Amino acid sequence: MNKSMKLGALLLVGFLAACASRDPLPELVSARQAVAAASQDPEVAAAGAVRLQEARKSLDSAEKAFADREDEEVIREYAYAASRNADVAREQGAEERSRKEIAAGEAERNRVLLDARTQEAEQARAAASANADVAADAQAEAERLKAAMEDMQAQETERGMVVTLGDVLFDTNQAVVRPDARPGLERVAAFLAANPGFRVIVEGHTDSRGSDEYNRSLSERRAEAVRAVIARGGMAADRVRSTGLGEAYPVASNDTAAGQQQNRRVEIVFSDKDGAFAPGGERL
Amino acid sequence: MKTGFARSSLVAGALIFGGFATITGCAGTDKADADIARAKVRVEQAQQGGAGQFAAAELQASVDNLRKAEAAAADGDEDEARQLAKRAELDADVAEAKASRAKADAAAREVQSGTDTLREEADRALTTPPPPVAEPSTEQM
Repeated sequence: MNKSMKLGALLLVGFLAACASRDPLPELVSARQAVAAASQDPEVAAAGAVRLQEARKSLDSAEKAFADREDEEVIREYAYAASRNADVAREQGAEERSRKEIAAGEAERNRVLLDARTQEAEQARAAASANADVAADAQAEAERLKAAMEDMQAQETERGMVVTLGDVLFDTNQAVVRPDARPGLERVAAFLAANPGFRVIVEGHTDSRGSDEYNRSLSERRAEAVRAVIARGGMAADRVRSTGLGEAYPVASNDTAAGQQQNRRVEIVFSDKDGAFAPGGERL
Repeated sequence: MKTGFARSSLVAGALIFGGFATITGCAGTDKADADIARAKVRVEQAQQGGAGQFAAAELQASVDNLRKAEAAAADGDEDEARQLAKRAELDADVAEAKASRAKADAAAREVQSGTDTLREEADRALTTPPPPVAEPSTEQM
């Protein structure tokens, strides 16, 4: 009797222990996990707070029902609500993350666009500046050449820039350049040395007195004499050429002494800076 | 006789009262109709939110629970119907939230790829040299 009572007591204790430590339903376990996971997401706190609160309330009710040994049915319903609300909260958190990515992406896009525009503007400015530099250089070069031409008393003609030297260069019927005429020719030589793109043609001209043959020959010798002075010091042959044109190209009437004197002359015709003569510039 | 009548009227009164109590009690255990109607609206909202495309499983769970709720209501099991309708409603909430999130994800990817393309184009534009400087025509000498 005593023995069986002891056994009964043991059984009762065992039964109670089993009841007390009964495992929670799987639904309750997964609800706990769902709520815990949602709680750890910082975006959920921002965007899913209401649903997370709902989930916690439902989980608390489920835990209470579990502790109070209520029907499994009741615990399951609370656990279901807790899990689903936690799911919604997590989706809301994830959506918030995506929305932030969108905002960041759009900001990045605007930044890239702005950078590109800034860069474009910078390139355009640099190009314009380079163009302006080139233009300024060209302008300065043009002005320098113009000054040099003025210094040589060159005149602009359809045939290009032309320096005209009067018959004072030579004694009558002579083809030797007089010493006092040399400085003018030195300036032409110096110009050619300083501007290697330029070429010149030295033309000898006479008045109409005397035979054509004589005049041509004289003009040729005089042009050659001038050429020799200019090219002295070894200038490339094709940069300084000479030709005797006789009386073929008068610039004034040969009927007067003054006109004749004007016609007796040497003309130095200049190419452009690239060595090209204007149309009609070369009378060789 | 008198006492018999009194006793029987007492019994009848008790019966009547009990009947009322039962009827009002029945009316007191809420009908599931309202919950089912609300769940239906939520399912429709989830569908309109693109749940059919982006949260098919969740939407299906919602629709299944709604059907079960309707079946339970038809069987007169109002408690079961109410529970199932509430589940359907919760499922629809999840489906809608998931669809909304999926759309945001897609939009984020689109923005990202657009930005990537733009950046590549910008990088390419920057590495290609600027157009050559136009040589201005200089004065003919």
